[in-house]
Amino acid sequence: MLELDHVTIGYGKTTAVEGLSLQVAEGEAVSLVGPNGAGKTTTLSAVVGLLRPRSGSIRFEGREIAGEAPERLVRSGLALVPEGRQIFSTLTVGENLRLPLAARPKAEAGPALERELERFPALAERLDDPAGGLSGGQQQQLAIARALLCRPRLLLLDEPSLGLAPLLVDAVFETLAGLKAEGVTVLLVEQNAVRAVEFADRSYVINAGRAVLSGAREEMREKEKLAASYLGSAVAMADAAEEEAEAGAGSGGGAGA
Amino acid sequence: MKGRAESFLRDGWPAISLIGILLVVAVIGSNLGAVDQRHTIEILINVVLVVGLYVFVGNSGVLSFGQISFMSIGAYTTALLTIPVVQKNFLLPDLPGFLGSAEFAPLPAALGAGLAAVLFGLIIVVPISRLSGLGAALAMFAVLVIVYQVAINWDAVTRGTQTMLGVPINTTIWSALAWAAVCVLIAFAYQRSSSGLRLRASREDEFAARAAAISIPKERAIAFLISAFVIGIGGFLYAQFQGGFTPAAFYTHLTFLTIAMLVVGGQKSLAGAVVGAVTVSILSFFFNSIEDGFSAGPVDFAGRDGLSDTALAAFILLVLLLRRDGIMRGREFQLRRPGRLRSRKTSGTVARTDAQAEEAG
Amino acid sequence: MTELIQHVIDALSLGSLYALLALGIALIFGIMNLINFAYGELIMIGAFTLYLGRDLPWPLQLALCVVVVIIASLLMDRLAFRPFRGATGPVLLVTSFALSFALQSLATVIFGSRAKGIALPSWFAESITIGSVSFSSLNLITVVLVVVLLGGLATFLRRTTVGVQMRAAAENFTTARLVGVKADRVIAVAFVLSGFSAAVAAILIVAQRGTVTPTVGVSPVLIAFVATIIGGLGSLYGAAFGGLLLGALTVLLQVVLPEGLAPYREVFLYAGVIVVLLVRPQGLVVVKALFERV
Repeated sequence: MLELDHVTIGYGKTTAVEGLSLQVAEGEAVSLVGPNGAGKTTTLSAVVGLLRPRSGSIRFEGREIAGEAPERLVRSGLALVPEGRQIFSTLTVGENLRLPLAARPKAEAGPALERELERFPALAERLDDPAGGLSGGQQQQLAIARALLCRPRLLLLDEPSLGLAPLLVDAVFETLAGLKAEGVTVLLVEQNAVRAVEFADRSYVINAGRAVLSGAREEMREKEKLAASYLGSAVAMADAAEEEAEAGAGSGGGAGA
Repeated sequence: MKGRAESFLRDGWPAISLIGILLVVAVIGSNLGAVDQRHTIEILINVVLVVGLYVFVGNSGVLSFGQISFMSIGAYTTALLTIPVVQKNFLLPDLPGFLGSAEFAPLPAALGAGLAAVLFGLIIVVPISRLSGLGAALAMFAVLVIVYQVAINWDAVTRGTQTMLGVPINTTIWSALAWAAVCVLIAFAYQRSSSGLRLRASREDEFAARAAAISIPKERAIAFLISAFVIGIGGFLYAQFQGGFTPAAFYTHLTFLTIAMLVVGGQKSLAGAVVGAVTVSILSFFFNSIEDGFSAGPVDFAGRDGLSDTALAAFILLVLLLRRDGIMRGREFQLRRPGRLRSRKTSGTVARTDAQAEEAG
Repeated sequence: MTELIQHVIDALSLGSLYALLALGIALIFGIMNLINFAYGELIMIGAFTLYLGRDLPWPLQLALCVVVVIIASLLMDRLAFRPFRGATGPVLLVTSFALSFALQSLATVIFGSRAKGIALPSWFAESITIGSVSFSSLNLITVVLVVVLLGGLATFLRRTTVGVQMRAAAENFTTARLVGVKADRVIAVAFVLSGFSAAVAAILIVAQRGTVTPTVGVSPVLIAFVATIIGGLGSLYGAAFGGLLLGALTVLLQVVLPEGLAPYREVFLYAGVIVVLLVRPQGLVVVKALFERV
């Protein structure tokens, strides 16, 4: 459904992401993990149209989308839950939720809203309250609900567990699991690598702008590989790359190291 | 020995090259007709003003709409210090004793002008250096209005709305060039000082700078006062060039022009300040001459008032459209050894991964 | 007592006008982070339209003014500001300066710099006397008009879909786009509203001055600039309040300053502005309101 092919993204003179390739198939849950500053948010920003890649292609459902405007991509079925939630604190919860509904036919909007309010009862209770007054966990729910109301075929999430207490992190991943069960295609970016890798069908590890590791859930469970690629140890990476090359086709459509 | 000279040349090139440009402007100008000689002096005065503006605005990233108030103070101080006593007593009979009998030579007067500007700057520096963004711009605009209004109304000292006359005309192409060179050196020395570096760090990333224990208000204050001094000198040069002026000469029109010159040249570098000042000044003279009408072949274009301003403003918009960072793009003129790495800002990310790749394989 | 009432009326009237001006600036700033100095020239365009249409029946004359200014405002965005979207603060400022300057000069080229007289219908500036208090009908019209417009704006922002979209965009433009808000549309709406306020301001200003020159918009836009910042950047309520305050202060200073200091009125006013900025750099209004910045 989503395909990045050797994408390079930069800001001014710096290059944040270099030659990244990844795929997300329909119905899959894929996670992109890596340390701070690795280029995860940059990658999502490019997919969603906020940044234009310098080279490489981004294809969504077969169509090249690199550089298209975000508000048009939303209509095409891409929705992002941004880093830090980014809810509109001066709007009420209800106004936040109704924003994406403006683009949808009236008949759909009502039931769609109902569904999200059922999923997140905390929001239903606070429809007329200013969104700025919500707790962190509730804001995260609002951000997810808002994105879901865009009726996305692919849902992108940028560090949804950031800044949340462990219990709330659990709640977030429960929600994600529920979405996966409903068949929503998900691309999850997370610093919390362990949980993200557990949740996703497949994962990619990115470090310093380059993909360094990828694989299905079982493979990624080998914690050493993960830790090593996080710390960026050249030797460990070389080892990991070697193993990857040996495993060859078995890694299921992974990216180059 | 050769190594020393070479490294001096390379280190100082950003300033040396600019002074070189000014020298070329002066030499060419001095060989032209009387009107263009006056234009040349104006160019050099504008350079002083924009360099002064750059010292504060360029290094701190804080836009100020009121630096020209220092020019006003410098010019009026110059007038008070240098108008021949007899004339002064006639023009300004109510002037307090000491000022009434003072008559200084150009150099001390220039320093006096700069000093007066700095003293005024000291009064307002503490609050200004704490504000940032549009708040600072607005506060400095308020200062500009205040200085203007005081100049209009304080008849005893400024002759109010009447023209201040009789300032001895001592500014020549060469004296203007000398002062411009001095100001370029001052700005250059400042931006390479540790204070200047710290200020520029805060411009790029305020939070990081604070975390590095940089006192932003203090560094801004230093730049602010140096800026005041330089612009005060500009006021001195202007006063002894025109011989007379009114408060309106130091108000919004000139403020817009100098800011435009800085932004067009590229506000983040000294070279930008100089290049912007020279370029826009020359262009404005060109447009002004067109305004009086000209002939192109068989067709005569009659001049119209306001045409030159329109053309100048349109030009500024065009330059910004094509080169958002300004002509110099925030860079200084550098002397490069052939074969050396070009870019100063290497991408950390790529450099790291390159290194890793090298190590690994 | 009579004098006091008259001063209050003056303060309200001037404050309302200033509030209107401040809104014209704040509407654009809230969405685009751009202080549109050329807003003064929108007022100028409105004033000259009134001049050019001076032989038309007054409803037509006023309507023409509104239409022309709104179109000019949209063109301003499309032609002058769109190419600069995403530019840094100083570049945007110089751009809007340069545009303002260019338009003023162009008007000088076309119309010359001498003042042209316009006479609006007499009831616009008639003297009304109630009891011992007399004031101009213009004062009344100004206050009523601005109150109605403010109310209309508030309703628009609260109740309409586009209005909510604008509030979202003003708070966080990028995220608004991520939920499908069309960038171009909210910006266009902001320019239409700003243009409308400029047209109304032009009418009120011309009604008072009776003349128009190319620089008629210079002083209003500076006032708007000051009012917006002391009121609190990014807050519409703040801008309106800042305008009201500035108007009231202006009248107050006029009344209170002794003879000798009267010419220094602006000095005191701007000194007051500096004090406000020092004491409360984020602006005076910190109400969680429309267009509030976090």
